[in-house]
Amino acid sequence: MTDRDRCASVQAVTTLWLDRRLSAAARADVERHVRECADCRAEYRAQARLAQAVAQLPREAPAADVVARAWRAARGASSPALPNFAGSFRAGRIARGAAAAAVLLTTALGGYWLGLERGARRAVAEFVVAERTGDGPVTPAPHDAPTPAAPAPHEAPAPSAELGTLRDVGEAPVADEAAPSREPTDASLAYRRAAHLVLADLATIDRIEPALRQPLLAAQMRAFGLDAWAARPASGDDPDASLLPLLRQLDGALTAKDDARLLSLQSSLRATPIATFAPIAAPDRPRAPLEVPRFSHDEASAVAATFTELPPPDRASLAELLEAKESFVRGDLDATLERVRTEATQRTTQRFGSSYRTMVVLSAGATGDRALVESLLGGDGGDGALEQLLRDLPWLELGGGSISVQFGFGTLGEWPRRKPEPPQEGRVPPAKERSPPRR
Amino acid sequence: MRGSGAERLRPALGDDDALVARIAVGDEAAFRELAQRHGARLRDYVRHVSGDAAAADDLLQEVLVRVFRAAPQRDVAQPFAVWLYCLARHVAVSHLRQRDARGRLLQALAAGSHALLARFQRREAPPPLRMVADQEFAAAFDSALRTLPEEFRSVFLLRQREGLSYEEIAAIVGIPAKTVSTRLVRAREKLRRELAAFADDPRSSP
Repeated sequence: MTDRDRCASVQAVTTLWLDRRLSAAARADVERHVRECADCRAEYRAQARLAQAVAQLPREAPAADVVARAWRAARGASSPALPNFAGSFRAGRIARGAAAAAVLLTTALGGYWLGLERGARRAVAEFVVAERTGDGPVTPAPHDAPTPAAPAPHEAPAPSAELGTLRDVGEAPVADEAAPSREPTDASLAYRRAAHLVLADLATIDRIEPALRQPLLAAQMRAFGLDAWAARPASGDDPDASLLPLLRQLDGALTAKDDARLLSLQSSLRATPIATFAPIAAPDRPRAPLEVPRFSHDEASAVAATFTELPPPDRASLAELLEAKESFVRGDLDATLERVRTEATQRTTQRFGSSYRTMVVLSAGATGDRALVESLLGGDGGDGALEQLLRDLPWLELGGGSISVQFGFGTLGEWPRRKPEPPQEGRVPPAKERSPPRR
Repeated sequence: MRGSGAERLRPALGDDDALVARIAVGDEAAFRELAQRHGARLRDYVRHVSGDAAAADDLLQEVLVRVFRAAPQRDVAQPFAVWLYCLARHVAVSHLRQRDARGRLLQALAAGSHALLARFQRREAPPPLRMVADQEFAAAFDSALRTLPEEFRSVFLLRQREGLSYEEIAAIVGIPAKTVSTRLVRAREKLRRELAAFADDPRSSP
């Protein structure tokens, strides 16, 4: 090894040395070199000096009233349990159907939301959740109501058409009375929780690097047979302008935590005929009906709780977790629970600790697009691309794996494989041929 | 192997989970106690990650609100520091993302004027360096930090300012411990270049 190589290798481990993470032998080796090499000595000293200076920078004290303000804000936010989806599942307090609603919405509609401004997006989520979280069963009500004013460029197909853009809400008769705010009710809390569930999903999609987001969404659209959507341009969608005022009202009520108004808006929205979701790209071809398994609240709760109770995952067993998700999506709850409980799956959860990580990969996995999954995982089984994808994702503290099961649907096929097949244009791979969903 | 910094934090964290449990049931005293213990650190972290000194108190407030909300779901199997800094990082990164490029530039210009408002709280403070004025270094450090992408910045701060172990940082940032190490190397190299005026030995030792 030349002197220069030696210096380079020593300097490469300076950080480990500073942090006392070198083995005794390696440390002795480095120290011997540094004693003899003036350049490396200077470099080490500079690093040490810097580390010390940074560590010694004083911390500013928080403003005197911060804690009091935080306490007021925290208490004002209805309930500490608000973001606790897992808890709310267990407690059975989430509005029935919320889980299924999230499954319906998630990645399928994600692309649409991305075209909305942030507040509007949030309110759209609220809106749709409200629509889905009535007192009825999980099965979403078919929106085959006439859509009088809708300039629908094409006929809205069958009952389960969930994708596309909201229409016909327009200047709906929204009850806008300035009802005084009151203590949150169970219903309003359930409503908010359900909304948060969806929002967590949307937020995740929103935070995926744009370069990866589009193929991810496109793959998921293809998984639904919505090739036209998948092929649409990444931007340029024009969300229904007439919807925005209404959404802003919702957003305002939500932001103000005005439960009375929120519930009033919610009930108004329920009474408003919602148009079907029309594909944004308004393709000429008829869309494949969207088949979604229906779960009862208790069923979804059981799965969610099991996910949540897993100890924190291992790349080698990621496929198992994906299979668990696939089972869930297929509606085979027994198989889901069985897979969720395997040791391998638990290791996976451990390995991928952050729910984001799991969600993103699961989401991609559920599209059945192996190439995409492999690109997320780095293709070579390494951490590169996934890490790149996830590095900016802020931590999701909203309660563990329960959200994972809400992500995407479709089948996975025999992932993982070593080499991805070249992505097929416009259609998912054969592995995607899904078993018929349970109705 | 644990970093010495992690050991430094640990003794103070013993009964943090008891506080969190009380917070979960709405105990204001526990909330205040936890804020008293960790407020300055959290504020320092979110301030440096966000690069927004002016918003530091607001960000801290948001972190505390999230602590309150997340308290009922606290899983004690996860180290307290990991839980806490995950919440803080989420707040800081969200803030970072919400600001447009122009806003960041303005903030960057305004930053660096922060003064030595608090006493240094490190328990085992090493002897002071022969260093130029802290304030000057602090301003230069702020600028240098801004040249790092957030994921490097967070790793660096969690290690160098907060004294967390590689494993804890890995859990917070959601990366393997090995990646923590490579990011630290790159962050330190970059900061070393940016801050050469402070890091290099003026005696220009051989």
